[in-house]
Amino acid sequence: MASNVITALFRPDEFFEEHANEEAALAVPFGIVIVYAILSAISGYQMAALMAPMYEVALEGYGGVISIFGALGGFFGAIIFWIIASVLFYLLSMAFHGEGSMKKVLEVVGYGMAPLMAVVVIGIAYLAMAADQVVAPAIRNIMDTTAVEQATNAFMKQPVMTDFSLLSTFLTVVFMIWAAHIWYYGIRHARKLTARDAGITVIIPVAIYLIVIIATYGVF
Amino acid sequence: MRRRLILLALAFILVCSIVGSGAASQIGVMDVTLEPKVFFPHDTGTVTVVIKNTGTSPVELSRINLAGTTNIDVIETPHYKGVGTLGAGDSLTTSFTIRAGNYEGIYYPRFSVNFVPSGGVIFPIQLKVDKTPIEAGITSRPDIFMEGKKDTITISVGNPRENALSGVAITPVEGIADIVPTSVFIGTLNPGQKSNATFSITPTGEGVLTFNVDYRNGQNRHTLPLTIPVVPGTAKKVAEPIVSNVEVSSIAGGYRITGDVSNAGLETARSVVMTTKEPAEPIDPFRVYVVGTLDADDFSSFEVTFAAKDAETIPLVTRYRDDDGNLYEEITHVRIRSGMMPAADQDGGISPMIIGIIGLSIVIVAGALLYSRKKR
Repeated sequence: MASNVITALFRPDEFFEEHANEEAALAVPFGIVIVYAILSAISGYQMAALMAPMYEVALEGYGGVISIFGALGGFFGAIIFWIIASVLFYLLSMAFHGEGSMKKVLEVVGYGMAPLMAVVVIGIAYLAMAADQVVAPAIRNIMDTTAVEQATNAFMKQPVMTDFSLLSTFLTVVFMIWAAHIWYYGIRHARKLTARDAGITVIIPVAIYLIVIIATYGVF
Repeated sequence: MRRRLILLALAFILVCSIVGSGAASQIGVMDVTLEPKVFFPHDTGTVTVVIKNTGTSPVELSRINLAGTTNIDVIETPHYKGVGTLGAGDSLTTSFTIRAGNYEGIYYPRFSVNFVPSGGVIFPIQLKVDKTPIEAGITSRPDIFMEGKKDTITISVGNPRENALSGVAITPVEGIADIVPTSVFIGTLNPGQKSNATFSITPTGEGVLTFNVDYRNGQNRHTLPLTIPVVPGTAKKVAEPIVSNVEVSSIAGGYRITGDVSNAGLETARSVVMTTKEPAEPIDPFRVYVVGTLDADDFSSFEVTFAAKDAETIPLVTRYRDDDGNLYEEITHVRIRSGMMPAADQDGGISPMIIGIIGLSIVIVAGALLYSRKKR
């Protein structure tokens, strides 16, 4: 299993070419997605725990609930990301008369999510180190949307969080390129596309995603 | 004939002498009153003498007089020539105004009565001149005066003289302090007696505070000035609020400071209030935090909220009052943590660790991509 993952990471062309005519084996990709989802859950919990003091006044005693929701959001977000990415690749490849099954696309996307785990792991490690520097502004009235927005902005604009956002954005871009590289070969072989069609299929959603990520950081 | 005239003259003289010596034995000084009883140098007073005819026959008085001494001047003598006849058993009161000289001592001005046709009585009157003044001193005062802080001082006055002193009053001289009461009247102080007076003093500046102890010896006014230097400083026994355990956090639209305020002094701090001042602008919900009374060694938590723009430190104000209601203000400068500042205001750029992680990630990914494209 490990050798499959390593091959998929460093020799995606060979790996997916060998498995192109085989039945989709979702165990390993699903395992990757589950690990990624668990890491995302930890990251979500961590972030929610840091932000929970913001709601201490308005939602006293709900800090734990907020953290759990953060963890659930991270976990299911990762799974939803896997499914949505797969569906998008599948639909886009349909435009180029792709032939493989949806399961094959899920398998490919699952393998391609392996590099993204590094983004989450580094993010968790960084926040764990810098957690004591994070200060949460208190929100006294949860119904006051302006106050909530101001508090959230103040939270995200503190140096440790701006550093985290910068790191997270850069790492997402860098490792998403690696993931896109894997997806490119995966989709190409799984859906039996030309290099150009596979490139377009992967590039469009990935580019949009990266533009959104960079725009969210505030570059544009 | 001549011899008979001489004998007649001698007989007349003898009769007159007999008559005069008889009058002297009838007239006695019954009472002498001095006012004041003991003089200060340069005091003016009166000597009142009561004489009485204790005999059975009237005595004709020709002159009554009081003669001064080297240190006692008789400055007013009523007209006591040709006084008339003092009947048997009758009394006569005579007064003289005298003034003491410059020296202390016991003096004897001479009172005399002359009779008709001859003879007289001389009576020395003992008169003391003593320059021992009233004793006055400050028996209690604060160790250190504080400007604007009301303190009390107690002045004690005593009479070490042999005679009573009247009209004793202590009057402070206005100037460098607000003093209440403006005067304390003690009245008469008998010999060996003492009395106290208490004043409330609120210094308004630095200087010498003077209390005049006024009193009278007979009709003579005397003043003893009593001075206290007033140098406002820091008192030893005061409340001393100390702010500690300060934590700054950001809230919507501003910041919040939480911490503890402890009274490290020896007196109670009353009406303790915590707030902030410019460049900070107090905002709700804790523009001002009322801690209340803090006894010595007591402490309380507090919380204040404020907005601050372009400020790295803000003054945290501790206001309190002492038992007399005097208001004090202590300022603690609190640094707003750099982490609390908006990112746009931060200098220093991206941390080396971030750059390192990103650089390493780029190298790893680039290496992975290059490796994957390498042909076998």
